[in-house]
Amino acid sequence: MRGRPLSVLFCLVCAVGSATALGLAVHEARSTDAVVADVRSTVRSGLATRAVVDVRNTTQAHQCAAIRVVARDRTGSDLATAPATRVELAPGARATTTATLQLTAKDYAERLTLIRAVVGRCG
Amino acid sequence: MTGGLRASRRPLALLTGVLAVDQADRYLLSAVFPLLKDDFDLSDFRLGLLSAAFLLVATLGAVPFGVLVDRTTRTRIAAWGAALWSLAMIWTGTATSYGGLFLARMGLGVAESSYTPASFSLLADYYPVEERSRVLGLYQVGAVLGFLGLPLGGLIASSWGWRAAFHLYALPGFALAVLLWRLPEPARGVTDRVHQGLDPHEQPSPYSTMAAPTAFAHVLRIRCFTIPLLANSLAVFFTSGLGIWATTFLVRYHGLSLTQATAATSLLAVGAITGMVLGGRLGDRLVLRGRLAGRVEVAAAAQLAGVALLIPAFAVSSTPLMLVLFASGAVTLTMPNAPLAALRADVVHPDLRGRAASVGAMLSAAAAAGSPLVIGLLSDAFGLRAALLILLPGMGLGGLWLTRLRAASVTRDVLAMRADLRQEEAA
Repeated sequence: MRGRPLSVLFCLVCAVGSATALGLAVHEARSTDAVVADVRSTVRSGLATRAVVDVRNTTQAHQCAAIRVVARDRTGSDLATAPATRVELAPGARATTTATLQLTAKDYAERLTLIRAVVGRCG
Repeated sequence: MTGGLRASRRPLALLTGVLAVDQADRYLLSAVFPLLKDDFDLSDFRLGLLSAAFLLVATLGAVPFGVLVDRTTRTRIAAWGAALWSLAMIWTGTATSYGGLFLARMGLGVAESSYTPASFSLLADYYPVEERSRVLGLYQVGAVLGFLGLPLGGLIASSWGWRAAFHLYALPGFALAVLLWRLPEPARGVTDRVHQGLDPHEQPSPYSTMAAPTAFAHVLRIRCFTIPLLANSLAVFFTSGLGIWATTFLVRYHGLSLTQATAATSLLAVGAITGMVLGGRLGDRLVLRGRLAGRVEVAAAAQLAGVALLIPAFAVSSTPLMLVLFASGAVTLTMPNAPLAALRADVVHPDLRGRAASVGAMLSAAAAAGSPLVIGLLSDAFGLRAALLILLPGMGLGGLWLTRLRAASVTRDVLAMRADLRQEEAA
């Protein structure tokens, strides 16, 4: 006798869950971070790599960001981190910053998967 | 329901699809590790803790779900499990702190732990005994397919953010949960009864209400359950570690670039799928030809052949030869899984299969979790090549152990289970 209410509850959970998942995914896909930083290029020299990072303020307000450049392996572990650079950005402005990472020969040969710019808060 | 694989592919296709989604949801976290690390400013240790705690909960959770699966409607448990783990995926995507992320992953672990016991017990009852190994082989392909879907998760995360990846990955779980809900619940043990010419209707059995400790003790006393499980865990131990370390091995000893090595390790996935399907078919074929221990023979031969192929694969310096041996060895790594799972279903009473599957799930998860760590430690001490060569004989040991399971043992345990079913009908 309680089979039908349970089926209704189950279908309700799945329907609401699907709608929520889709809505949240669309919301996330459309939202943009206030400050976006991308590694434009990297140049290796010996065991050091110099990364050039483009930073962009996507809002119409003044923004301050701490840009950190990291080298990572394929599991996401940090191999090296450059000290954070503080960047002040006027509304809609762009800036370029550089960072140098020191890695080992083994890191270059076996581990290095990506070099990435991380945006943090000024502080 | 017992018309065979050809007659009814729907339950198998659905349960395989759910397994693929289960695995994809489970491993999506690792695909978005770098993004999570940046958003929550996490250390590698705290990131690793998320995976370890999830695995622990998912492993231990299989035990209570194993008990539940043996006492209630399995399709409902599987369906609720899929719906709840999809909700946990949404929860993960909305987490705003490390604590929230941790709790969401625990929720996912609890919900996902329901699936293995339910699906194992259901598949044993949906398909005829003589097709059991083949069916389980095809089902296990779902795990590899789910893993292969990870690059898509990484792509979504890098384009739209990691939160969107979790939300989108929740969607197929809900859709499949509804289909699971609509799946007919087969009578427990129906295929085993039909196989013996007994009344296909479910009969009352003392096992369904047996206290959990007694039931687990009973299952572990079945020789043809415990030995294949332990032997297979040795293979799982090696395979899981190899999956993690193969890329590094190819870079370190064969001078491949990371991209080339990653592409080469996809040979492992292709080999794994081939092995699963081939092992399942061979196991059934031998049993059909009257070799009752055929499933054990296939598994034992595969584990021993794996050692014979992989020792030279790790030792040779020629890269093309290494890749040929590596791909052939990969086939043998997963070949034992389906025949041994089928054997475990053959010797365990239908009312105990949920609990039996939970024991298997726990052991496999422990082997998969411990292996990369052990290989890493040995690699630091002796080098990666030596570490793999040290651990490989463990898989061979499992193969040798299986060869000790003679046809007489298999026959005895299979007949003991069948005798239980006959007694229940007579009573």
